[in-house]
Amino acid sequence: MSNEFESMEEFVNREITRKQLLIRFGGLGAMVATPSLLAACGGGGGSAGGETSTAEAVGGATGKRGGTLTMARPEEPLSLDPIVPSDNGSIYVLYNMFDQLTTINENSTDVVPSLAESWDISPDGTIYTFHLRKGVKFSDGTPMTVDDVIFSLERIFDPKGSAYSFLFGPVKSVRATGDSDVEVQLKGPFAPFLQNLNIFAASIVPKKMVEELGDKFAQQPVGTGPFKLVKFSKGQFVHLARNENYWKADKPLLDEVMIPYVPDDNTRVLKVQAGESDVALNIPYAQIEQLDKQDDIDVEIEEIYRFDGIWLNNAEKPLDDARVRQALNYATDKEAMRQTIYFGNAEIANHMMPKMKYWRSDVEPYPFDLDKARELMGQSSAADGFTVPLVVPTGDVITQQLAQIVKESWSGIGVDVQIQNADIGTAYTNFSNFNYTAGANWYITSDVSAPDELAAIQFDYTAPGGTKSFFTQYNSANATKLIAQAANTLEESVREKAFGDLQQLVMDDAPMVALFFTPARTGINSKVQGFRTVKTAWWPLEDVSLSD
Amino acid sequence: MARFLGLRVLHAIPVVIGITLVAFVLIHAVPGDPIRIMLGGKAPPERIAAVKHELGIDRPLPTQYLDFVGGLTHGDFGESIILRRPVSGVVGERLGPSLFLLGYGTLIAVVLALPLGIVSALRRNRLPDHTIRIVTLIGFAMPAFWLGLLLIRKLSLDLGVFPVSGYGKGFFDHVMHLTLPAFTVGVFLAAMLIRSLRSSLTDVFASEYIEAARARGVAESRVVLKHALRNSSISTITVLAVNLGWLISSAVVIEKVFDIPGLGQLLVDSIYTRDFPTIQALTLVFGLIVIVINLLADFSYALIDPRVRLS
Amino acid sequence: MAARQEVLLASAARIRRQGRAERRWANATLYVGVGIVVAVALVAIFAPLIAPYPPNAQNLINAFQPPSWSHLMGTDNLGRDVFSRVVYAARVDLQIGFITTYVPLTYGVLLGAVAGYFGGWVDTVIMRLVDVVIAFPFLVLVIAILAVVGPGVTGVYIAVLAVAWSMYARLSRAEMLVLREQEFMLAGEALGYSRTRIILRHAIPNLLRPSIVFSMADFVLNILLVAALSFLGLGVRPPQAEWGAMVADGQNFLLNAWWITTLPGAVIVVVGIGLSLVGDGLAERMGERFRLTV
Repeated sequence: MSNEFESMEEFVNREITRKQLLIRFGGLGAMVATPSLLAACGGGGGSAGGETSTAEAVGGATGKRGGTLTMARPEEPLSLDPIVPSDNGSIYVLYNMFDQLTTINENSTDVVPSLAESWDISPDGTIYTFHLRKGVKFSDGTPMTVDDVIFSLERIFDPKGSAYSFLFGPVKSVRATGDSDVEVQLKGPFAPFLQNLNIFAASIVPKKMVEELGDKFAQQPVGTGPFKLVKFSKGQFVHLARNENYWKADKPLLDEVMIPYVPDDNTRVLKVQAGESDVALNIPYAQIEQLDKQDDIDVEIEEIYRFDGIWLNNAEKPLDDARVRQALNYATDKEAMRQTIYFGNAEIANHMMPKMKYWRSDVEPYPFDLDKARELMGQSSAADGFTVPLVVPTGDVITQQLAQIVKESWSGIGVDVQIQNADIGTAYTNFSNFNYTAGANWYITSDVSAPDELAAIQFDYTAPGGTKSFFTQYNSANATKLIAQAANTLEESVREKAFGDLQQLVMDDAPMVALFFTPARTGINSKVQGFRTVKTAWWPLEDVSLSD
Repeated sequence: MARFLGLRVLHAIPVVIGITLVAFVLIHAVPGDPIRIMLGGKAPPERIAAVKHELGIDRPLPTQYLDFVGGLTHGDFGESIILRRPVSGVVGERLGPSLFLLGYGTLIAVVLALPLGIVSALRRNRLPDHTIRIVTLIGFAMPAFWLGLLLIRKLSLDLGVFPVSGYGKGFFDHVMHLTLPAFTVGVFLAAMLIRSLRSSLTDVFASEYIEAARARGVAESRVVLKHALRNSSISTITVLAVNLGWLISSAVVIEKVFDIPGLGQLLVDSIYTRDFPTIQALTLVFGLIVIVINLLADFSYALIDPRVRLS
Repeated sequence: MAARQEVLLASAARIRRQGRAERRWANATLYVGVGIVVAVALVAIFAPLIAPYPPNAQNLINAFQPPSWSHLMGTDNLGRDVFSRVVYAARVDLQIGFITTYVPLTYGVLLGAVAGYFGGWVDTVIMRLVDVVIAFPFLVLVIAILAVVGPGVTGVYIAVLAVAWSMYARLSRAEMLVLREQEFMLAGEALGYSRTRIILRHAIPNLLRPSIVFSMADFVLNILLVAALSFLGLGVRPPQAEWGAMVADGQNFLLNAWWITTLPGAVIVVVGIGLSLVGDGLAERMGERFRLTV
C-alpha cells in the first residue's frame, strides 16, 4: 500500500460503518425448490490498488465459435435493469449483459480495468479520473459516450434512487473532463471505491434509452456486455444472444444462451442427463456422484463466497445468553450433516461469514460434543431447557433435512425445536422485522473478496442501516472495535490480524450456529468448454464454447 | 337456448365477484410486501414509496379493489408488480400450455376410459372388470409427481422416446413434450371416468329399452355403441366437468415435475412474491375456466339427451 | 346446473339385476376392501406394538440402507426406519383422511339437503356459495391460510374444510330434489311433521348414499392432496411421519434410494384400492337396502 492512503484511514472507517445493509434475497423466483433464503451482498474495502492502471491486453479467444448453450437454472431474474434488483436470479444474468468501469481479476482479488481503460487518482485520494475505453458500443450499436457513463454513475450514487449508493461513500461531483474522460470527486478519500465500481448496479447503461423507457428499460435492457437480451419470459427462460458490438475481440464465443428456469431439482438433473441441457446449475447433493459417473457429464464443485448457518435472534431469551448459543453450536452434529445431506461436498465452517480474504484456517470449528453442550446449558440461564421455533422455507429439501437433524440432536440438551415451514415471502418479512427466533440454513454471499463490508453488516451492531448485525442483534463492542481497526488501516498485517481476531471472537460469542461453506455444484456436458463459476458465484459466459 | 345461456352468464356474475373478493381479502391478509421482495432488503424508502405510488398500491384497499373491478370492465387486468408488465400478457403466455395439457390429458383419459369402462360394465364383477378396476385404481391412488418421475425415467431417459421436460415450439413439439404429463393427468382422470362409466352403463344395460333393443334382435355391439355410449357420455361429461376446473390450478405439481410453463407454477410464484394483481387475475381466470367448463357441460347434456331439460 | 344434478343422481350405481355368482364376486371385493381398511386401522391403533423402531429416531450412520430383515422397508436419508414411519403414519393419515372427509360431509350433506328441500332464495344462496368455492383456486386458499395460521396440518384442515363440503352439498341437493317428490316425504308433510324432523329423520338417511360412496374416493383424494402439498412444502410439519410427506421428501432420492419414496407410495396405493373397493361394495349393498326402504 502506498503512503497516500494513510491519510484517509479514519475516513474509510467511518464510511464503512456508515454503510447500509443489503439483503440479497436469493432464489426468489424459485422459492419452491431452491435451498436459499437470503444473503447479503458486500462491497469491499481495503485494497484500492495502484494509483494508475492501464488496460491489460484483451486476449484473443480460444475454442470454437458458435452454437447455443442451454443452461437449466433454479432461479430467474426479477428485473434486468441493473439498478433495481438485489436477487442472484437477476444479478448473475446482468453480469453477462453489462460491463462496469472496473472489474475484478480471475481470482477475485484485484481491480482491473474494464470500460475504463485506465484511471488516475489524485494524491489526496479524492479525485478519480477515468479514461474510457474508446470504440465501445452498446448492443444496439450506439456508441458509449461520456454522457452515458456520467448518467450511470449518478444513477447509482443517488441514495434516493439506488440501494447501492452507500458503496461509494461521499461523492461530491461527477463531470466530464474530455470526450472520454470522467472525473469523480469525492468529499474525502474512500478506499473501496474502485473495487465497488464493479458492482452490477454500477453497470454502464445508455442514458437516452433509460430516460425514455424509465422502468420499462428492464424489459428491453441494453448494455455493453458480451450478450444481449433476446427475450425474458417470466417463469420460462432468459434468452441471450451474442452482442455483435462487443468490445472484446472475438468474444463471446457462443451465438446464443438459453437459460430455462427449472425450479425442480430432479428435472434439472434429468435435463442434463438426457442432453436437453448442456449445463445444469445447483445439482442436488444427493445426485452429484451418480451424475458425475455418466460418461459425458462432469459435475464441477467450485468454492464460492458463501456461508450457511442457523441465524439466532440474540435479543430473545434465552438466546441472549452466549452460553446457550455456544451450547447449540456444540450440540449440532455438523459432520453427520456433511455426510448425509451434503454427501461430503461442504466444508464445516470455522467462521460465521463466507471464507473470504484474511480467512484463518487455524480457528477451530465447534466440535460435536453433547457433554460440553449440556455443561454449558447447565450453567446458563436456561438450565431447564427451552423451546425454539425454527423457521424453514417451504420446499427447501436441504434445510428441511438439516432442521430435522438439528431437532433430534438439540433435544439431547433439552432444547425442543419446533420446525416451522414458512413461504419465503412470509419468512423474509418476519426476519427483516426481527420477528423470528431462529432460522435454519440461511446463507450469505459476497460479490467481493475483501471482508470489510460483510463483517460490518454481520457483526457490527452499530452499523447504520438498522439491521443490527444482520438481524441477529448480536451486540459486541469488541467486534465493533476490531472491524473499525481493520478498516482504519491499509497495513495488510494489521488488517489480517484484526480480521483474524474477529473470526475467533465471533466463533466464541456464537451469534449464530456456524454450519458450512457450501460450494457451487454444476453439471456440465463434456461438449461444453470453459464454463466456470467465479467465487462471487456468477458464470462468465463469454469464455464458454461448445465443441461438436 | 339463448335464454338458457344468458341466464347462466347472469348466474356467473355473482360467482365471479365472490371469487375475486375472497382472493383479494385473503391475499391482503397475508403478511409480505411485494415491493420489498422485489427491491431487496434495504432499498431506499423513497424508492419503495415511489414505486408503490406509481403502482397505486399505497391507496386504501377498497379503492384498489374497486379499481381492479373497474379495470376489468374494459379488459384491463392491471400491471404485474414484480414484472412491471400488463398482467394480461403474463397470464396469456401461460394459458396455452395449461389448456393444452388439460385438453390433451382429457383426450387420453377418454380414450383410455371408454373401452375399459364398457368392458368393465359388460363383464361386471368378473375377472376383466376386477383387473381393470384394480389397475385404474393404482393409477388413481398414485401420487402424480411419482408417476411422472417414473415415466420420465423409463420413457425419456432409458428409451429416449419423449423429451424429459419443457413445452417445446410448434404444435408437434408441444404434443411430444406434453405426452407424458398429459398421460399422468389422464390416468388419474381415466380412473374416475371408468368408475362412473361402469356404474352408469350397468344401469343402462339393465334398463328396459336396452332389453327391448336386445329383444328386437339388434346386434349386441350396436346396442352398446348406440344406446349405451350416448347415455353414458352424460356421466363422463359430469365427471370431467367436476374435475377439470379443479385440475387446472392444481396441476402445479405436474407442471413442476415436467417443467411446463403453465398457470399453476405462475400462481404459486405470484403468491410467494405477493404479486397481487397477478394473483387476482389468475383467480379470475381459474374461476372463469371452471364456469365455462360447467356451462359447456350443461350445454352438452341438452345436445346429447333431449330429455334433459334446460332449466 | 339442475341438469347435471339429475345426471349425478342417475349415475350413482344402481343394481337392477344380479346373478348369484356376480353377487358373490361383489361381496368378495367388498370384503377385501374392508379387510384392507380394517388392517390399516389396526396398524394405526397398535402402531407402538408393531413398529420396531421409534418413527423419528435418526441414525445418520445408518442412512440409505436398502430393505432388509432388520429394516423391512429400508432406512431413509436420516437413517430412520421407513417401515416404522409408515406404521406410525397410518395414525396421521387416517386422522387426516377422516377429518377432511367426514367433517365436511356432515355439513355439506346438511346444507345440500336444506337447499334442495326449501328451494327458493335459500337454494340460490347456498348453491352460489358452492359455485364460488368450487371455482376458487384451492392453492391460493391453502398458501394464504398457511401463511396466516402458521405451518402444519391445521392450515390444511382449515383449507379443506372450507372447500370440501361443496361436493357433498351438490350430491345431497340432487338427491333431495328427487326425494322431495317421493310419497313418504309428502306423507310426512301431510302428517304435520316439522321440517327439521322431515329433513333429519326421513330425508338424510336416504340421501346419504351417493355421498358415502363418493367419500371413499374423497378419502384417497385427500391423502393424495396432502402428498401434493408436501411436495410443494406445504404439508405436515416435519419430522411428523405422514405417507404423502414421505413420498414427497423421498422423491429427491428416487435415483439413489428408490425405497424411501416407493414403499410409502405403494402403501397409499393399497389403501386407496381398499377404500375404493369398500365404496363400490357399499354402493351396491346400499342400493338394495335403498330400494327396500323406499
